[in-house]
Amino acid sequence: MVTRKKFDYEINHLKKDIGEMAEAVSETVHTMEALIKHPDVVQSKELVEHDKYINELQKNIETRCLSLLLKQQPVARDLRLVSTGLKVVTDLERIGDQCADIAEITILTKMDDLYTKLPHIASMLDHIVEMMEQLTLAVKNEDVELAKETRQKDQKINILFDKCKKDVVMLIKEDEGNIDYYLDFLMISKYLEKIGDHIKNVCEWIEFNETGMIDNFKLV
Amino acid sequence: MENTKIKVEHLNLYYGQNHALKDVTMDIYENKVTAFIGPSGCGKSTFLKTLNRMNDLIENVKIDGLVELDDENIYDKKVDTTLLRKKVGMVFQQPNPFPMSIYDNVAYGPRLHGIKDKKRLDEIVTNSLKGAALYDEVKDDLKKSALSLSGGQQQRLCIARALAVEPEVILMDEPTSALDPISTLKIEDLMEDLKKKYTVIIVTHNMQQATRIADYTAFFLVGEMVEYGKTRDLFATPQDKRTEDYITGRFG
Repeated sequence: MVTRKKFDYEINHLKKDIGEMAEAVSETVHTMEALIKHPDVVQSKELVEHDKYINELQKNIETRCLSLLLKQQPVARDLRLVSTGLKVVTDLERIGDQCADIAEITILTKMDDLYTKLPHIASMLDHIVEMMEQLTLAVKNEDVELAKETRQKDQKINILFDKCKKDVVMLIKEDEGNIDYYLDFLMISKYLEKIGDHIKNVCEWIEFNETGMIDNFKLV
Repeated sequence: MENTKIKVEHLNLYYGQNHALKDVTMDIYENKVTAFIGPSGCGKSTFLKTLNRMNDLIENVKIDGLVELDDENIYDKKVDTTLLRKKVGMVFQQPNPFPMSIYDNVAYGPRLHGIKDKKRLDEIVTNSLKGAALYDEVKDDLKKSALSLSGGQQQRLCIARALAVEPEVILMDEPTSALDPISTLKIEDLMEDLKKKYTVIIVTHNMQQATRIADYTAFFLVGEMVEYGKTRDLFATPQDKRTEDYITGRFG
């Protein structure tokens, strides 16, 4: 006889919701990539609308997690899942926000020169898109190995960001009249770097969900 | 570094043909609260009773293996079970005060062990009631019948009665299962104080209670000790699937 049918239903629903949120965020990351390459006002507004949907998903997951804590006092794998749920939604939501911030810049700033002025941004963007796709798969399949592999890639993002930053410093030195313009480029690269950090955080929580540990540190 | 208070090695217990405890091996640590959990009939209460030889009183019981208290085999023929049970006290599921005054309940054990001096008895009764966090509630009328106390107070009186003979280990068999939530929390708070002086071992069906009060937890299933470790580890990352299934309620 299997006990706790309702609880199992809630737990499975929570897993499904977290997977759905990761997918929604991945979709936003793809849109953000498209907007950097081809700025589009309508698509940018759609992205901002989509971000509201992501925020809603976050609230729903948080409510479900808190309700499970209150009503079911989960332990072991259930406790780890509920804790993971509460933590990852914050990082996923921030990724959505940062994509929306980038989308706004693509509308307000001329993007034509971005790739030539900051040659490392293309690589940065490719890595972010790939990491987000892998993250979504890792979340949905509870794939710890893929999560580990994905989070290693954040190091590359950080290196690329440093290169972008140096490029921006040079651009400003050479062309002081366009400081605001170049600062927008810097902002885009910074947002991408932050997205990398959030993806890494979610990966760590996927590992925690399986092991109760992050970086060999026992959290529970 | 934990000090071992009780050492159990390859303990087997049979009720006639029924193999009720199967090769249990574990160290129970001094000044810690250790909880035994598991479904009904898993052997946890039986195991608890082997620690002060309460099972000796049951007919047709056969026990083999080793149980040492402070490195001394408690099943050695030379052991005086009355003295053993003075060292290893017990509190039961149902509060069972004697039908006499609060004072006499607590003084009962010390008197039995030969203490007659009134001043000394007064001191023991006061300290024991304080140790059981009951003194403030009853100090004005120690002559009152113990049976007039509430269930929670009666259970703390039973704890005071156990403390009065200056035990080293206190065994508790579901001590709060008959109590209301507030009385339960009072007893749980008390455990935190008790473990400073005593080694406490508790059988509980309430897993949340084990997570709240126990430093170590052992999970029993059909006479086998399946898993034993720090409570936090056992409830966060259990190593055995049977433990995980039980504590998460996926247990048929």
